[in-house]
Amino acid sequence: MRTTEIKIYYNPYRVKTEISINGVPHPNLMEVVRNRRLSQWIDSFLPKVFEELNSRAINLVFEGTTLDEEDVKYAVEQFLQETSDVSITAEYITSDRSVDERVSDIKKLFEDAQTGPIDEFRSPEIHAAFERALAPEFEVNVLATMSAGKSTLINAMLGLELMPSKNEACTATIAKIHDYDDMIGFEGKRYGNDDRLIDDWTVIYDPNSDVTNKRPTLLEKWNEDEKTSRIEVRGNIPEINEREQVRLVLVDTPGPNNSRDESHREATIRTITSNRPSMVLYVLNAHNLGVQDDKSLLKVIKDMMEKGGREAHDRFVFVVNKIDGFDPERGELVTTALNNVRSYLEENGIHNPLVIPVSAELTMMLRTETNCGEDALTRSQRGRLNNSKELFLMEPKMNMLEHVKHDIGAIAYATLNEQLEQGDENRRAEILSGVPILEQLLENYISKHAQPARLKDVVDTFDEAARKVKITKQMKSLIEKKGKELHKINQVIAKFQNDRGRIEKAKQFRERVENLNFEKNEESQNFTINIQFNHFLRSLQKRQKEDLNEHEAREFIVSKTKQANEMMISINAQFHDSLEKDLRVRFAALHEEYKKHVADVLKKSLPDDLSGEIVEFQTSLLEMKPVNQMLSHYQYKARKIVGHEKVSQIVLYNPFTWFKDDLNIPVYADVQKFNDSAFQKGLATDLQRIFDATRVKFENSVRENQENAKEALLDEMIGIDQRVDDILYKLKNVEKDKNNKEIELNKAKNIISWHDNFREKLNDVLNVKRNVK
Amino acid sequence: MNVSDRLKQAVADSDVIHVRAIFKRQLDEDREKGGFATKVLIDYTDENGLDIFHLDDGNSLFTDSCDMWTENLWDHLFVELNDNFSREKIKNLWLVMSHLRQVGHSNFQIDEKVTPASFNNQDKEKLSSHHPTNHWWIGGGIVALVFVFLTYKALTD
Repeated sequence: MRTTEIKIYYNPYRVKTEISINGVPHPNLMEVVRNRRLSQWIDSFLPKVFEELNSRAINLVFEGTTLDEEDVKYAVEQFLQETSDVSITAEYITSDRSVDERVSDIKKLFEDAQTGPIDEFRSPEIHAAFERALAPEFEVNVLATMSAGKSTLINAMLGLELMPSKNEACTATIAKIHDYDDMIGFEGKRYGNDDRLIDDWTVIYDPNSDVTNKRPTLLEKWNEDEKTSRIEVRGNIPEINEREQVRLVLVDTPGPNNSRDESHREATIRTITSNRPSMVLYVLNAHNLGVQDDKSLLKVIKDMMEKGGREAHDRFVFVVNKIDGFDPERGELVTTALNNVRSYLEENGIHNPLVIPVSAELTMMLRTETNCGEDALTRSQRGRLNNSKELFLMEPKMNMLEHVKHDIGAIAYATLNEQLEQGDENRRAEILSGVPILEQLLENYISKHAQPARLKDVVDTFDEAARKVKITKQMKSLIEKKGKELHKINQVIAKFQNDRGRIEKAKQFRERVENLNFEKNEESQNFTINIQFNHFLRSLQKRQKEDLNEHEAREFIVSKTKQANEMMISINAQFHDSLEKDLRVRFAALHEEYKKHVADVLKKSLPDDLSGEIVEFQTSLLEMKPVNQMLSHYQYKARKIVGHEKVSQIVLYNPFTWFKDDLNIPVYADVQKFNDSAFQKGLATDLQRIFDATRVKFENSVRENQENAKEALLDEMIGIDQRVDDILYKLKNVEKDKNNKEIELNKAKNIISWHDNFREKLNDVLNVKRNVK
Repeated sequence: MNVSDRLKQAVADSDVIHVRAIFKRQLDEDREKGGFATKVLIDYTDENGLDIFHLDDGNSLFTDSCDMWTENLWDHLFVELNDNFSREKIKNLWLVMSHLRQVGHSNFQIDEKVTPASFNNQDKEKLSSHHPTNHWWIGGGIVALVFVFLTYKALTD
């Protein structure tokens, strides 16, 4: 049997792939991978290869980074398991140069460029884009079902009991914890519903303070205070290393059913659907899977995972907490719990999820004791710590690392296993409890997906300079022309510039951009689900067959509001997605139309006998930035939160607040029965009001995005006009004066040679071929 | 029908979103309550000078032909209010509602336990003028409604 050699070269920093079969590039396979990240195509690649080649044996050579090598290996293993009578031998040529090193080098290159001859590197726009691309904050969003132990997990990662966890059902604010390795202790500030600062930086925990401060209570107070909407915390998250250009931010998200602020729901959806690299830890209670009420949220995750390939697989981690409650000696097995979770997720359309079992409480207690001393734990906690520690150290079935051995990648497993063999008793117990596995996955995700994506964004910001150089090169070849020819060129450009028809058309085009209006479409209106929502409210306001007592009435409100919230999440997610998609499509259409308009103008205004050179020159001058680059401008703006209007209390953060004034639900202090239809109608009207208000907020947000996008497009057109004017001025001067010609030629040569050198250095930084260091 | 304290407060606060939410729920309830209670609410809002209506955008699945008037259409027209809360769209909903009640659609019949809202001649004219193909349906319907209303009132007074 003849073996076919397939060579894959993949550069994650450029998102560039080359594929050759027996040394010859293969166009069909290239089409599958073009402009896509390896993690998005590798799983479907091998079946495609065998289909294309009609071969049963291949030798696969992969050239790229060590972290991508893991994905390729995993894909090969999976394929071989699923497919019989094929053989694959694999060879890996990988570069181990770290992303951190590359980031440092790129920063240095950018700094050097500030004194170079290309003005674009000094523009505020490129500076903003550069800073944006290298923004250090990397968010890890922690979501959870009720009483799953989310705050305990965060506290485990922080190494002390910072977040209030005694009544998790009431976690109603968004808290962001920023990792600052050089800080001792933690401090925080909080904001109200209108995004107004209530308390500026205040010490929450100081390790040098007395014993009482070892159990910080300030965050608990803030969380309980209804005025608080958002809390920012900073301090050292000890197990996560602050890396070059990455600052971890743990986001304690209240969960869409739990929030007291309407904008939190929007923030949660945005978090999940964001294109920016971030991770989501979805915490479930190992003992309480039957009562999950998170189907809408899981649907949003499912949709993202379907779109995102392997990267999304790594991005969403399902954490099964409270594993310490299992007793293998009584036949309570972790494996069974994990299988149940996988089946539950499978039922919700999430295939092959990354499921990690943990005992957050054990790690939290171990680390708190180490960091803050024994006094920081209560007597009861000390008892549980000893019991859990013994259970995990002595019982082989409580080794969480072994449970996920085949899911977390060979490198992560080897790293943790080595620590398990060499660590002291506490470290071993920590690893066995599973939390360090999460921390390792987090580190891997940052290196494998977040940082390469950032580097790619940085490189994209240099495109503006590259465009300038392209124009300079073409201008140089025009300047080099002799007298008559140069004169003719100038005449043509001047004619083009002054062509009334062209000016009028450009004006009309601008007007069309300015008048571009936000339009809702059939998809965004999403009639089916809106009708369902209306049916739901109708059923809600119908008279109950039997009277309800106060307790039943409260239960009724809680359960109906949950259902309403879930429907609203689906409606809003789809509404937002479809409007964004619609805007993108219409923006791209305008962009395309502009290109056609330019081509048409050029054809009409340039005589046929003129060399292709000048046509090419004009085309470069009039070239627009790519759509994605322009849209990134508005997307960044769009990411800001669009307000914090408190719409209603009835977003379920605490059932006992149901009868407060904001609800307009009658208070039946001395009546035991709820038989008035106004009760149900009031609730239905409140839900209708929340729904409508959220919708208005979404629409305003989309409108704002659109205005920003229009602004970006118009700015670009102004930039083009300025470029044409500038070049025309230079060419005229060159024609008039020989000295000027020399000066401009030298300038152009200088720019071109400087840029060639810059590109070479940049290529070196980004190269993943083994021989380049 | 009395105007609720909730509506009075929402109008006093000029809380347009809240007023619209109240109207929507009332409109939905009118399907089974007979009469057009929403009209009373609209009148109250108008009298208090709060403008809660959009100009009609002309985008609607509504058609003049009553053969097409189904419960699905009613549901669809109701969702159209999310994007364009216009007087025309509400009138269209009333028309479809009356028609479905007349033809005996089970989801549009009056729950007799509930007092229907008043409905005057002016409203009749307004509605019937929007019904070019089947005037007699509406005319008959309104007469029947008024009859039911008067009988009910006589019995309960």
